[in-house]
Amino acid sequence: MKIEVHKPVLSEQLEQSAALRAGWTSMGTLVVHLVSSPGAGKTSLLEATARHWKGRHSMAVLVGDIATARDAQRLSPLVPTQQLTTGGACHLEIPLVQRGWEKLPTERYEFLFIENVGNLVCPASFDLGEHLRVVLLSTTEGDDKPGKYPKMFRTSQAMVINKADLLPHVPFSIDAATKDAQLIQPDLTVLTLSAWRGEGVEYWCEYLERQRQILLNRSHE
Amino acid sequence: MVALLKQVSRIQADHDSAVVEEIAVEVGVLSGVEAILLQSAFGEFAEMYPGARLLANEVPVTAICQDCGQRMSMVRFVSLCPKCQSPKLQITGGDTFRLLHVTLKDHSQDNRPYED
Repeated sequence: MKIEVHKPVLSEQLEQSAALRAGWTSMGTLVVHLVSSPGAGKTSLLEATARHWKGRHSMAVLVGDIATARDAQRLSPLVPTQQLTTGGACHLEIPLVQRGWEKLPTERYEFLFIENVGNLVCPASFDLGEHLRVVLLSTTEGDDKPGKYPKMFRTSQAMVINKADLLPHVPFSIDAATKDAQLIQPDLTVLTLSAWRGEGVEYWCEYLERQRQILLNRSHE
Repeated sequence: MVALLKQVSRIQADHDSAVVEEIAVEVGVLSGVEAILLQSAFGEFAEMYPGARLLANEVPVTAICQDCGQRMSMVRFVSLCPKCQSPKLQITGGDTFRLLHVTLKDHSQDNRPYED
């Protein structure tokens, strides 16, 4: 007996992520899924973002890590944060995100960041209900990464090049990385900054504020 | 793999826990799943489905160029249109991992009356 199915293997997860996204949209919360390789500066960027917006915009963070709560310890003095420990798994999935979201103080946040486990491979396949996927690439990693990890760049809407302060010391070309990434995703927005020094963080924050405004305009249409 | 087996188990449960004979999936070149690794992972779950086959149909990437309208099919993703060299390729297929069908052993055949 042949049972025809013809459904994506992750169809259940896709339905769950769509429901989460719809809930966040109705609250006016822009959800940003931040991905990168380990050490690219995701947590540093969120620290810099929290400092830049302090007292002006509300944000919360769900931060994934395979073993420790170190990133959450850095962020929680600044903004409401929940650590999502994957217990060795290389990426976040919806149930962990949902549980973390339910544990955050019940407030209306303008921005929710989901910081995935440092990994440019597996997180690319999992929609976590985000509105925006941002891939962070640091100048110490090399400018050839987009072509080597195409799915991550193809499924992202923006690429942030971090550690720009190290450009004089490392063989990294912003132009080459941008060209490589935009060959894969021609509509990719590219921003360059140094989260550590705070340079360029204001443009990143303005970009997010514009994206939230677009979300609000769309949901009122 | 877990999501796939969850779907298969649900189908099995809906059909009186019938024995699974075949699981057919479609593996797009851009799905992030490698058919050979999928087969290997399935082998680890062989005890759950004794004698079952996993058929993994690899599907090429299909795309249409948003600038010149050229349609293309490729076994490995090429990011430029072969006709006009534009990077604006809209992917139309080959990026999904889908369960196509599950074949279950038909119990009615086991209970067929003996025929001389």
